[in-house]
Amino acid sequence: MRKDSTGISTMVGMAIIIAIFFTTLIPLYLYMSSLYSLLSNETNSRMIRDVDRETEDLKLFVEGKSGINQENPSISVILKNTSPLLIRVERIWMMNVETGSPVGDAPCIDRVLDVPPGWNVTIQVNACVQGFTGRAQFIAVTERGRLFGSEPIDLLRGRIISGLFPYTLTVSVINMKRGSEYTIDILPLGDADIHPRSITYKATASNENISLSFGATAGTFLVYLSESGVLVSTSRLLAPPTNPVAVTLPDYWNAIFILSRSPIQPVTIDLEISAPTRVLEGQSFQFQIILSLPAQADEDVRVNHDRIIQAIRISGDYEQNTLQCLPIAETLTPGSTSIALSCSLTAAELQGNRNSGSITITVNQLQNCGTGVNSGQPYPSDQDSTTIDVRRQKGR
Amino acid sequence: MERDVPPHTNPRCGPRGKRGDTVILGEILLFAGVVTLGLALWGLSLGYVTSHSTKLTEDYDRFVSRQRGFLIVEAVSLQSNVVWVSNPGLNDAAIISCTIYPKTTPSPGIRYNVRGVIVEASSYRPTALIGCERFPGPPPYTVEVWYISAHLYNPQDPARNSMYALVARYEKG
Repeated sequence: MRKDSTGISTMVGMAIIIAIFFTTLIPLYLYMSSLYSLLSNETNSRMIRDVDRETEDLKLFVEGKSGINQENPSISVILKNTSPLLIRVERIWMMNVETGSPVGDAPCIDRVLDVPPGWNVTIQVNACVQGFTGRAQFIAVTERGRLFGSEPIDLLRGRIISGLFPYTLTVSVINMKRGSEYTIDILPLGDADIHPRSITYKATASNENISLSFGATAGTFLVYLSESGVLVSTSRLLAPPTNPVAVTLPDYWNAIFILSRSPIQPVTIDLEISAPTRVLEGQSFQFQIILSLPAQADEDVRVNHDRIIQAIRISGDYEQNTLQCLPIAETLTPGSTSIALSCSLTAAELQGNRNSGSITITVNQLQNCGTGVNSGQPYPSDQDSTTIDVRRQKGR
Repeated sequence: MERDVPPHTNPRCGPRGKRGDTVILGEILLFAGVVTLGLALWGLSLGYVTSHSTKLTEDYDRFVSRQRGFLIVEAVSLQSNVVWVSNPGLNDAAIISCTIYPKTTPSPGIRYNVRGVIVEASSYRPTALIGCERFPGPPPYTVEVWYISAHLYNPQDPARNSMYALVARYEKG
């Protein structure tokens, strides 16, 4: 009896130990094994996803047609899958490179595109680039979370600038009036396009000429010329007979507006002598001849130094043949004052008991003090005269 | 002739019977002790294993969540400080912070300025994060979005959220 009871306790104890073993340790081991297995699977699948993500390679090319028909798509993005995996593109953004923001704050394309390995897929993106001007870049977002970008492109009103304007229209304006503003406005007709469509230029000299070039497509354009905001009348035009003038590219490449030449009226140059008021006998002194060209002058004037020197008349107490003049300013601009000549002269010794004398310097009126740079016309000058007192030196 | 023997003095069953009772009692006590100790040990083992398994499960869950989480910043508007994100990962993500700061300055870290915005996993639509904090300074900028798996997100426990947070960065010229 005793032997049997002890055996039961031992058996129960063993049974409990076995139960503990099978209900805790074994499940724990199995659970940990399954967790480890799950973790390994997750790590592996993450690694596989990362490898797939890194393997993705998508190239974006932007293609624009130089066609100008608004109804047909002109810009498309080509997606080229150069990886061995199928790439699912979920979105395409169009980014404004200058501001760093998506154009329209929304994706350009918001539908899924599958690009099989080695394939090209072309999608039209006209809707999202419509009217956009600036530098843009397309970014494709793949299902695996990669971003692929295109090279930045320049767009003008929703079209690619490169190749958009294959022709050049040149507009020339001849004989502009100094100080006036000239505006060239170009109106494309039909499907034609041109850039820029308006340019304003201010003439800085009389009868100035300019030639401006505009990028354009084939087509017909009306070219308008305005002077200081007013359309130039045909009476003021030597050519063409109308304003605006119609130009059709590529048959004609330029438009030339020849304005009637503005007559240049010479103005009188103001001449002044700048000299000391008194000098000592026997002393050498300097005086200058100063020229002022009025602001009303239409052109620059070249100074005729020889004529001015020839017009100098000197009388009084001075030594003969001591006058020497050096040219300074070569050209006068409207509204400017310049020293034209710097001269030197020697006062004579006072004879007898005279304590004082005088020298009078006169520059006569000239008909050709200067010559107009553009017109070649002579510019007259007025007369000027000054008297210098000559004093006896002390101790003599 | 048979002698009358009192029952308690019966040599056949008197002293021998008492010894048997003690032995039985001892055996019962031993049995009860073994069972009690065994059950207690069993209970302790089960409790330890259960708690250990629970903790292990949580740890593995967090680890797996990190493996499954993946958020990308697709686009940024520097005018309106809006950041578009998408979630190609396998778990829904809860956004807890979004900052835009100059690349030359150190990261401001987790700011808890965008709380509880859920970005669904494998969503085909981007989510716009409004209210991203912009720090002054010259470009280029770094966009930093902190997120955690949505099932781990606890709005009452920001410190714990940040313990398990992941970050997505985007550089902006």
